[in-house]
Amino acid sequence: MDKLMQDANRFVSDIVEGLVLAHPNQYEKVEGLNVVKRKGGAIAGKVGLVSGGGSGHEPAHAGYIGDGMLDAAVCGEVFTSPTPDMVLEGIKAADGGAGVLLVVKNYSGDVMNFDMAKDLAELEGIQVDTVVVNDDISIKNEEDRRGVAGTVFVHKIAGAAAASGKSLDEVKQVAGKVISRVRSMGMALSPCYMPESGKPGFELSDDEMWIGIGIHGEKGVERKAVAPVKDIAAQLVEHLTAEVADKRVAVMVNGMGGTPVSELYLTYKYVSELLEQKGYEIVRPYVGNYMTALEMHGFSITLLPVDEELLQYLDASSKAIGFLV
Amino acid sequence: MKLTVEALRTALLATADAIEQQKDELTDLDREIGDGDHGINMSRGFQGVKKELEVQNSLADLGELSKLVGMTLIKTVGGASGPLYGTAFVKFATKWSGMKSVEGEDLFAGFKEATEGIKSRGKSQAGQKTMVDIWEPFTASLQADSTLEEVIDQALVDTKDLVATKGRASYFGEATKGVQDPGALSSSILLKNIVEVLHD
Ligand SMILES: Nc1ncnc2c1ncn2[C@@H]1O[C@H](COP(=O)(O)OP(=O)(O)OP(=O)(O)O)[C@@H](O)[C@H]1O
Ligand SMILES: [Mg+2]
Repeated sequence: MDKLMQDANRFVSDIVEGLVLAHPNQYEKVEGLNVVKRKGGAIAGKVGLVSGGGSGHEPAHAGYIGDGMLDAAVCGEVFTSPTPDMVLEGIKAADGGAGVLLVVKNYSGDVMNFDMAKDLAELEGIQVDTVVVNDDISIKNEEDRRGVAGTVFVHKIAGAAAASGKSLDEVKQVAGKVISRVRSMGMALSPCYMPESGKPGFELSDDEMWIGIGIHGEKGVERKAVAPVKDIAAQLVEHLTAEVADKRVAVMVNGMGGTPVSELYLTYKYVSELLEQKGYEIVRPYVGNYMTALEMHGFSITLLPVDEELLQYLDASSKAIGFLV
Repeated sequence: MKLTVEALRTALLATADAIEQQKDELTDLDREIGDGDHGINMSRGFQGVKKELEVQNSLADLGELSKLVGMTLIKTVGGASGPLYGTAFVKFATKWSGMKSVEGEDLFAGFKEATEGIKSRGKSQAGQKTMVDIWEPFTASLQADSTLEEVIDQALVDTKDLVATKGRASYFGEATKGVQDPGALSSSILLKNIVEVLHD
């Protein structure tokens, strides 16, 4: 598999440096580490918001830094959780004295490394709290559910709450509210390739697809024959609506990195039709590449039932390059 | 059976070389039931350890050596295995602080603490098809009259047939049966290299 890259060992640092160079007024890199922070650093008196995880999900997570969203993002190796010392630097970069909330996705690596970083930050006198996102319904056992594209809504809403001056407890509470409601499910037509090994995450013939993929190139939970997009969308919508009772929703159709935007829009057409047939009212649609897996060809659907509070935070201004409002 | 500073250092350098040799195998197993990065993660970590050990030749005791290794792994590996292996070595360091060599009860106490450390960090237990399924039987056999290499080999065989219920592999449920857990394999590499120097 060909990739535009200079050297697999520099894959992540080159992404981070490129991102900062491309947005010089907005981003800064923490010296010597793949940690990105908002230009100018933490905002005094505001709750800091830190996210991160493995790289390969661009524009996540660094692309969600900006006024109204994150203050810092910690960029691990491709699909590998960052180390506690890196997360600690992210926490310090985001700390404006009102405490820091960590948005963690539910993977044992991320949970453990962010936990260790939280302990280290508390030793340095920084107040830290954590929320763990687990929106991927393709995993049956709820405890093991992964954090995927729904994490973007957590960044947006918690970010807006923090920007509006809420306390750490309040920001955590609204983030928890999003997590308790948001549900996602994804599929892939073709795999992605790890930069270092050059190997695909899974093998799949041209006429097959995986339903229930994650965002780390791993195979899904159900291998099926490829079908027209409406049929595929119907399968995902069926699973999702079984878990989402509330009918007023924000919907995200997210590309996995290798899906042309044309295909995302045509997919969205069927997703919206299917949802409306089931009596859902789509109050905020989002279509684009929000949480990717390198060059994987596929998409995920996320449903977030909203109320006035969540809508207000979704609509609040954001300067983050991955989610401009 | 005795473990000295020099012996543990030798075992760690040998582990770094063995991981390099089995890097692709570890990664391929992780592609099968994980996300395809375990060999890459372990290689980054143990090459980091090797580099530290090559510059640090004045490590006074097992505590200092274990702490250096633990902190290096925590800072370089990432993923799930970084905090887990890192915690194991930090636990060795707490039990073996100030000791130039350990045997008998002290040797056992270090491994016991390390295994408990992995379990509490990972909120895991034996039987879930993880590295714990190697560390736990190995530690138990330190007090029994058994051949340690055989215990490790048997534990690897037993782990293969378990269904994963912890970590990334748990997403694949029944399909993990019959596939070796990558973290179990890397643990067997490390522990076998330690056994190797215990006989000296
Ligand atoms: N909770 C846990 N308890 C004990 N061992 C675990 C746990 N989670 C994972 N492991 C071990 O770690 C190994 C996987 O390590 P690896 O380096 O591939 O990290 P990872 O799970 O891919 O992390 P990340 O999600 O950040 O990429 C597994 O094979 C298993 O032995
Ligand atoms: Mg892995």
